[in-house]
Amino acid sequence: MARISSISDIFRKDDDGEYIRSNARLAQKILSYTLVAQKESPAHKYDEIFYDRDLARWLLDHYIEYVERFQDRPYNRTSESNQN
Amino acid sequence: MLSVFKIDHIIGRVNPTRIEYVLPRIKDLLNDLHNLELIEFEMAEQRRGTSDIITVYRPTFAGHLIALLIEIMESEKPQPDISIEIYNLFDSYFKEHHSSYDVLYAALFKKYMERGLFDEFGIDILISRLNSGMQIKMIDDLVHRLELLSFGDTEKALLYADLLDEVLKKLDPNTKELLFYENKLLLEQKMATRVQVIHKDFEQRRFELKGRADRIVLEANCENCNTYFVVDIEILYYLRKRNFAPHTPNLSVPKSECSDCHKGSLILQRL
Repeated sequence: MARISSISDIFRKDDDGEYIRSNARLAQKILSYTLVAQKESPAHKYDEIFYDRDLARWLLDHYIEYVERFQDRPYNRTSESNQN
Repeated sequence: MLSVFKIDHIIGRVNPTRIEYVLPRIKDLLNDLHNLELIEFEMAEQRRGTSDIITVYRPTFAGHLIALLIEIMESEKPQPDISIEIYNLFDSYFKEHHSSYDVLYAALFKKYMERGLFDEFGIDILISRLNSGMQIKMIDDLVHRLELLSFGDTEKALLYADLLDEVLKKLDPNTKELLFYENKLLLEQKMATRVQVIHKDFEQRRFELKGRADRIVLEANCENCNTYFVVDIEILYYLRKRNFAPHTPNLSVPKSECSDCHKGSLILQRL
């Protein structure tokens, strides 16, 4: 996967409206999750801590690529990073 | 910046769960977001009574701002609570940043908020920057040196010009002078690369007015008598005219009167 090396990489699209970085949408969802963590915390502080496993669990339900991947078929047991 | 303690989990290799399957990619991205100062790693701590040491994460100011902007971009309805939160974030940002641009934008944002225009003028400029394709490496590229705007809508352009006038009138003289000088440098530098005929005169006039922060020097061309002039005009007047460029046939700044042929055909470049 190409790395996200600037904030622009999270948003930049090509002429067809597709994200240039394949991880862009996932990066957006990770940032969106921080708001979920904020809402769930008693203090509602924006810089509330969160855990990567909780984030992963949430993404499995809210990041469309993961939702679709695990919806109907068994997953490949090689981790995503090792497939690329 | 907090100390970084990154201690990876040992991923179960025999019977990986779905979480373990996706976790490496997510951690890679968290690292990327950390490098962009959007996410911080924190001191690892114990959890759930185990002796595991795990990494915890938290968004930075910048990460929170981007997250809020994403929320607005994805929402089909106005999100007043998020708008207020963004405004408050900027309020704290401007308390720690004091360039003339920051002072101007602190005052402008306050004015937008008072007039119920923060979404339209404040948030839209940030979202349009994110979507513009311009290079935004770190958060400062997004929020620092917000340029003065131009609009494709006459009513909006007029409203913005009026708001800008109101705010500028109340800025302290020193801030205003620094702001104009910054703009003068930027605009005249752009003009220098586009001078077509009278380079020496342009340079000479620019030099003569080097102490006038409120005026810029431009090369202008009359399309009726084809004469070139070096003109100097008030920055504010120029910016106001430039705002209406989207409504002219060739996207140029609306024409002024030529001092030679007296036709309204003097073209100022859109810088």
